[in-house]
Amino acid sequence: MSKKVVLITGASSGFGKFTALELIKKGYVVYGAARRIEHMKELETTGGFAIKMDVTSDESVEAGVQQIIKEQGQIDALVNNAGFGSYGFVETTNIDHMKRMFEVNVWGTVRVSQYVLPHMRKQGKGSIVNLSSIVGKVSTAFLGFYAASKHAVEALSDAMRQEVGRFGINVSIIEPGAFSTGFDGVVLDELKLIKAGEAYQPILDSFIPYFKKMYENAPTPEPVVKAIISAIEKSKPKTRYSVGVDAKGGIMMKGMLGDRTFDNIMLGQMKMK
Amino acid sequence: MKRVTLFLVAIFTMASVILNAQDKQVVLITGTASGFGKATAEKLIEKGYIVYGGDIQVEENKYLDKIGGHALVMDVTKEDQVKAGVQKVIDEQGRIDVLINNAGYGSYATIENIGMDELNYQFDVNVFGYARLQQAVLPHMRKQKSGRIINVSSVVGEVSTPMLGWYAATKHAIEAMSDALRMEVKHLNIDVVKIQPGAVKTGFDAVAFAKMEASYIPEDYEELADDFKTYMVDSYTKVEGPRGTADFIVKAVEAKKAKTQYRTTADARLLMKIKDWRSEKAFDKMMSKQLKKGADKVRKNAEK
Ligand SMILES: NC(=O)c1ccc[n+]([C@@H]2O[C@H](COP(=O)([O-])OP(=O)(O)OC[C@H]3O[C@@H](n4cnc5c(N)ncnc54)[C@H](OP(=O)(O)O)[C@@H]3O)[C@@H](O)[C@H]2O)c1
Repeated sequence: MSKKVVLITGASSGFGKFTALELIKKGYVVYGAARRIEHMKELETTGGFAIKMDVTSDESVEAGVQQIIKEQGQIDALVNNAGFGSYGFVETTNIDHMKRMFEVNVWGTVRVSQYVLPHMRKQGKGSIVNLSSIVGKVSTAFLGFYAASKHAVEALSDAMRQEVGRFGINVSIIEPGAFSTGFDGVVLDELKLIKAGEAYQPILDSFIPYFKKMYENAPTPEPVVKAIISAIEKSKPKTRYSVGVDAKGGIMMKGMLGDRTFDNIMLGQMKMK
Repeated sequence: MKRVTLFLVAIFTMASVILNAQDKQVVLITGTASGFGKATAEKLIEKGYIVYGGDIQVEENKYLDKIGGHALVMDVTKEDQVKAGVQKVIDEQGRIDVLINNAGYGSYATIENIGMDELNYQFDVNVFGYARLQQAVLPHMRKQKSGRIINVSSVVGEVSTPMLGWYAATKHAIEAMSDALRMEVKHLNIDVVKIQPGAVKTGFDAVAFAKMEASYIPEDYEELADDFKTYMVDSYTKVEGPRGTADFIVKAVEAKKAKTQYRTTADARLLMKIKDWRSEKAFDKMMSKQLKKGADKVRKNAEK
């Protein structure tokens, strides 16, 4: 049996990087894609392949997928993991600034899938794993647009699953809570670019320490890597994997409580009341 | 003499502005040329609200001026038009009590085949359009220390089905944005309400089908697309019109304590219940069976 070929976007850091390294160890043919190709040295020295790819660019994605098909003749699994968080208040956040995030998290997921799916349909098999988040299921103050991008990922993945199941292609959604990756650093960098506005500044001031502390205590990514790999390897994977106590708890709580009660708990927790 | 008249006119206008502000609530609705927006505008005007309706379809929106409302030319993807529209309401009424974000559209397409331009534009209208309006009215609502924002979402804001995935993605995004906003403006005495209709006969299906016709569908998807179309075209001849949903929107405007969301049609309420009861895989299976069975039934009836 030939080795399975996997494409992972956002493999230069965090979940993507660890998943790539783990899959290489397990004997997969792994292509890692990201803009910072220099951050994928370890991936290459351990036997994987690094592709410079920006998921917001058609040419870049097309070239990357072409390269894999030329070199391996197939793509068995795609992990749509490239993404980032840009937070801000709904009233005062610049819309064009938010669109950059949608271009990566949402359009990017669709774009790479659109280039890969024709090959998977031809093969009559394949698996696609999309990185959502706990905020794909629940939304809270100050990260409305990030949550909106992940809610969108949930919806497009649910539809995709129902559309491509008939071709033998599995689609799974991963919903991590907070894990220690490069994610929080990007969020804090992005925060420097936003203006909260006078009315909201106090909320922002209490949010930043809350957020930093949450990520200082965040677990390392192994459970998420495990979920991604299980979604790739199982012939009948779960439709969604919520990973982390905060993710499982948050989603359950939201289902049990009314919206207003849930709002109050969240605002209280974030000291944003 | 002339001066006195002018003075009196000025006093009267001021007084009427103040009185209006006190008894009549000022509502701004987007997408009033047809569907939910139109039905809601008509109902609210009948009830004595001061209603401004923005739409990109200028001719179709003119009826508003004739029935006592105010038509605005507004493309929700254009920030300057959104700002100008909101400014006009403020100039003329001094306040905005309620914003009803309703302008939006859908296209039927599979995720693999939807065009990148369509991806962008649908988000720009459905999601960022709502965001632009919210950003334009919120400073005024904060100053008033009161206000209500009603966002028309959909049953597909919470579930997603084949051929509707991208539209569902925009509506899921609206849900997340609305939930966050509700928490962000709670302390400012501003409330946010979501409206979730199911399938309703408006201008929606014609637009969505037209987009589907214009798109490329690979052979592999032809059966799905055909079942979907057969089933949906038939369904849309049977579903209710927009007035029932408009009643819920009016309720959301008038309720002292509004609910966070209103599911406005029986199919929306049923679908949500089924989704809660069943496992996801069972839900998928049920949806695809329903589509196939529904389409076959329509085809059989057509043969008769
Ligand atoms: N960590 C968490 O707490 C958490 C929780 C829930 C969900 N998530 C999700 O998990 C996924 C992975 O994030 P992470 O936590 O591992 O964060 P990370 O360490 O910051 O990794 C993000 C990866 O995305 C890549 N990326 C960003 N923009 C890109 C673009 N335009 N084209 C190609 N690649 C791009 C980055 O590579 P380059 O910058 O080199 O391009 C990087 O490899 C994201 O979708 C994130 O939203 C994270």
